This record gives sequence, C-alpha cells and structure tokens, in this order.
Amino acid sequence: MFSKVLIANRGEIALRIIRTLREMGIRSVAVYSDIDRPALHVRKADEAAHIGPAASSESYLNIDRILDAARTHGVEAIHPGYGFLSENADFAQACEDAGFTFIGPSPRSIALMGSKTEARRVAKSGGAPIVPGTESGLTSAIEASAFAREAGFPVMLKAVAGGGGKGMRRVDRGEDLSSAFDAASSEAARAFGDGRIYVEKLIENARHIEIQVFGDKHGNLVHLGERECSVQRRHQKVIEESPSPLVARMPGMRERMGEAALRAARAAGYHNAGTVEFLADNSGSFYFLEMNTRLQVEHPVTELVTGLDLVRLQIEIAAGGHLPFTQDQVALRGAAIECRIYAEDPANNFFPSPGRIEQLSEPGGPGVRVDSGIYPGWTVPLEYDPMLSKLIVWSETREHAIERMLRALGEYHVGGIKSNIPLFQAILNDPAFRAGDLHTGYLDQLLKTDLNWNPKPPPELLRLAALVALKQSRADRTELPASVESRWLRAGREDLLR
Amino acid sequence: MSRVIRINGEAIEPAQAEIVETEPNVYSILAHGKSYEARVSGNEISIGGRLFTFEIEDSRQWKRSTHAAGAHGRASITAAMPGKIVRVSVSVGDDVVADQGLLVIEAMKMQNELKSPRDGRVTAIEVKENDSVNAGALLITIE
Repeated sequence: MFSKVLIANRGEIALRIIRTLREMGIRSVAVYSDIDRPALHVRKADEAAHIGPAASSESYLNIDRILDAARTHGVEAIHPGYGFLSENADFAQACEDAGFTFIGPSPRSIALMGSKTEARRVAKSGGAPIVPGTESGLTSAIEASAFAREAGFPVMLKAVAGGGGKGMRRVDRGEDLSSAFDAASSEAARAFGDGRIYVEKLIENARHIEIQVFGDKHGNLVHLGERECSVQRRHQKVIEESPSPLVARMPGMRERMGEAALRAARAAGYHNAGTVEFLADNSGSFYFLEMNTRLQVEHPVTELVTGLDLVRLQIEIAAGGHLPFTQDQVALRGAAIECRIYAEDPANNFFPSPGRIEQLSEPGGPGVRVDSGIYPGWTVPLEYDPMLSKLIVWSETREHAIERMLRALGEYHVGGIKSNIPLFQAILNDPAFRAGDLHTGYLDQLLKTDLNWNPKPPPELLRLAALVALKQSRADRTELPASVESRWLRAGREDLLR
Repeated sequence: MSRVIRINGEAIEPAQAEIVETEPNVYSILAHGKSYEARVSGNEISIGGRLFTFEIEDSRQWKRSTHAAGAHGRASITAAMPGKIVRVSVSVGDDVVADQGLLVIEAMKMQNELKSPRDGRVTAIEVKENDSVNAGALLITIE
C-alpha cells in the first residue's frame, strides 16, 4: 500500500479524498494555486505544495508543476479527483512515466472513452444499446443535416471531446442546424481544443440514469447499481439519487443496465472507478450515452446505498488489490439523495454569487452527510467552479429521504453570499419530483412556473427581524472584535445608546 | 427611542421578545413560547427560513449605523463581483423608487440588473457603459 498520495485537485473533492487517506494511514499532499493558499483542502492535508497562479491552466491543469510537487514530496501515487486532469490520458500516462501510480483507469481506457464517438463504437461492439447518431465527428453542418433528415428532428449536437455540457446544442428545425453547428463547434474548440461535432437523435423526455462500475487489475468487474441524475439545468446535474425511481419499479432493469454497462467497460479493458451514462425512457428502454473515466461528483449516493467507500476502493485497486466482493454481494439498501450546493442566486436567474462567507451553519443529525470545501471567513474564488458543497442524505425509503433532505436544507445556513438552497426546497416540495416523475427537461419546466422565491413574510417575522436589527446595531461589533469585547464595555455602551 | 428600523426598506416596529446573542451574530429569540434562531451577515438577517435586509436610521445621533444602507437615506450601490457595465438606466438627479432598475452589469457571462434598495434621488454615477469594474467598486449613490 502507498504511504503518501498527492491529490491533483482542490475544494470538496480534495478534502473528501484526504479523509479516506487519513483513515487508511496514508499521508496526503494537497496542491494549491496562489488564490487557494487559505483553502480548506490545504489546511486539512498533511502536506501541501504550491503549483502556480490562480488560472487553472497554470496550476491545476499544469502537468509539469503537479509532477514536480509529487517528486518534491516523495509520493507514490496521484489521485486526480474529478474535473481538471482526471480524464486526461496524457496526464495519466505522464504519472506512470514519472513512476507514480495514477489512481484511476489506464491511459488507454481514458483515451478510448474520452472520444465520445470512439466510446460509442466501443460500447456498440460490446453489445450495449446506443442512441442513433453519426459514427464519427463531423466538420460541417451539411453532414449533420444529412443525418438529421434521415433520423428526424429534434437532434442533439455534441462535441467529440465533450463533457460538462460544453459544445452541446439541441436543434429542432433544419433551418437552425447550420448556426447551432457553428456555435457548438466553436464552443467545443475553445473548451477542448477540438471543434469536431457529432449528431445524435434526441430522445425526448429521457431520463439520465448512470451505472457505477468498478474493476480491478485482475480482470474482475462489478457494477454498484444506478444513480438517476435527471434533474439538470443547462446539462449540469443538480440533484442525484440512488436508486432511480424508474429502475426501482421496473423489474430486471437494474440487472439489464448493469450488464450493458459492464459490457461497455469490459470492451474498454477498464479498471478502477468508472460511470456508464445512459438515457432511458419510461418504458424501460435505455441507450449508452458516454462513459466517465473517473470518480463522479455524485459518488456519495452510491456510497450511502452500498455502504462502500469508493475512494478507498480506488486506492486499493490502484495499489494492485483485488475487488473485495463479487457482484452477488452487492446490494442496495434504502435511498440516498444529493443536492449540489452552489454559490448562485436562484431568485435572480442563477446569477453567480462568489464572495466572502460571513456565516456558516451546516446540517447534521441522522443520515446526513456534508461534503464541503468551505468555512466561515473564506472567500469563494471567481476562478473556479462555484460549487460550495454537496449535501447528501440517506434514509430507508425515498419518501423519508426527501423529508430528511428538506429538514437538512432547513438547517443549512450560508451567510454573506447567495446559495441555491431555496431551489432544492422548491424541487423537493414539487409533486412531480416526489412522484419520481423525472426527465432531463424537468427542471426547466419547473423553473418556468411561478415559484415565488420571495413570498410575503408574516408580519410577526418582520417584527422579530427588526428586533434582531436593533440588537445587532447596539452590539455594533464593527468597532471592536466581538471575541475580546468585555461584557462591561458593551453593557456600558448599550446604556449610552439607550 | 429615536431610531427607525427598516426591514426590506419598510419601517418596522421591533417585536417585544426575549433575545440572546448565543454566538457572534447569531441570536436566539423566544417570543410567546416560540423559539427562533436569527443569523446576521452584513445587512442581512436570516430568520424563520426567510432572508431580510435591514438598515437603521438614528435621528438623534445623525449618524448612520455601520450596517445601514444609509444615514439620511444615502445608499451606495457597489459591484458584488468584477464585471462589465452593460447599461446605465438612470441619470444624476433622477428620482427612483425601491426596486427600480439602476444599471445592468455582466459578469461570468450573465447579466444582472442592480436595483435601488429604496426610494431616493440619484446623486452620483461613477461608471458608464462598457466600463470594467472590480468587486466592491462604487457604482451609484442614492440619497
């Protein structure tokens, strides 16, 4: 087993990995950019290395700087987290070439699945059902329109090198194809350095359901059930859950999807953690979408229903260990839901709200997990993804998990910046969500209804707020640090103000 | 009592209730047997799952509280984050009402309209269209 591991990432995922490393008795090395010196992952790691300026391209995406840090700190392995370099085959290769174990799949599997068209080919060859689409990347809208005429509108344009919703466009009419193609292509070229686009038939009202797979380096491969991630905004997941309400009520669907996912993973010679994403419809049909060759943001919901620590499994497998269980021993218990808490204002068109966190009170109690990367007094940087934390709950049924999430959201207070907590309260109270009646357009539809973010408060609450304002102004803590102010001084000052 | 407390811009008479500051900027209130927790961040109060802005005018001291949006009603509109000014919708001398749009700022590829926190008159505009501004930059003053 390794004695020291470097985490090539930041924020909540870096902290989450540090925690497992500590439980395993492995020293952790954090990396940080200029602006992240006070970040929580740096504070909590055993060691830390500065890797460059705030811009990701010069720090968290800089392979040479990260490998230098790994050498300086004498680590044996590197965990990439998610995002940044986690699905970069060159990085995985560079780690191996420099003598570090990359905690993830082989560079070959990453490269194979990193190309969306290649991944479709591999999945198809393994026998997984795929969405009808073009076999390869296209460079002009004319080729795209030939496919669209045959398959019928609407179609989806996607970046061959894609991910994170970049370079994606829905096209409903032939006359829109050309401009959408150009927009998607230039967006993809900017984001991935590759402007090639492929076209898929759009499956209307589809659900996004994905299968967690895990393989070791000895040829063992299992799946850990599904996660449903249909609640999305701008192709970004907002809420994830396991089990999927659809899969849970369709006999045999989990087994069929799991088998299809394993076929795709096997065809890619896969080991370590991976996720096979599918589109599914309410009849139980499903189609391979893509494979993510890394730990997912939403991995905690799988951890809560399986009772496993996926990061520990990743590390053990990377060190050459065998999967410690077989497919028969995997069972899902209860229901888990995750909310991605972002620094954005749902009442104001989801405008980003970076800034200083003045107050923080995190929920706790039975079945509640907070994977967070923030603390009071810390300033959320503009430079990176504005996700503050993930709030995950588990309970014995989906219904109870929803009640528990609402309870936990009520306890969650982030002051000084806006968060999307009110959005989750609206979703979890929505009858369609509660009925498990989901598809990827669900949230857009909900947001079109009048959600009334600012209902008129009861007069009693206004008067209590005024009382707090009065008390706060008397304390007038801006003049003296509250912690050292003597009670006598304050009492005297309050007397003078009376 | 010579203070006027405004909650969301409206003068409100404070409730009579037992209030204790249990942590810095965190208050426990017991009102008619009901328990509430209130948290203060800057000029915002979170209580009962709702968020309120507050300001205090002290007519005796003629000095605004540090939390207030304005003594004699002065309110400074500042940029919450770095961005570019897309549009300025008012001119110096304009009378504005609470929630009236003052200017539009673009940041992180999103446009956001900044609104007047209260009724008043525009006394200064520090920016023009296409200006880039830093977080915290003063944009408009309302008195």
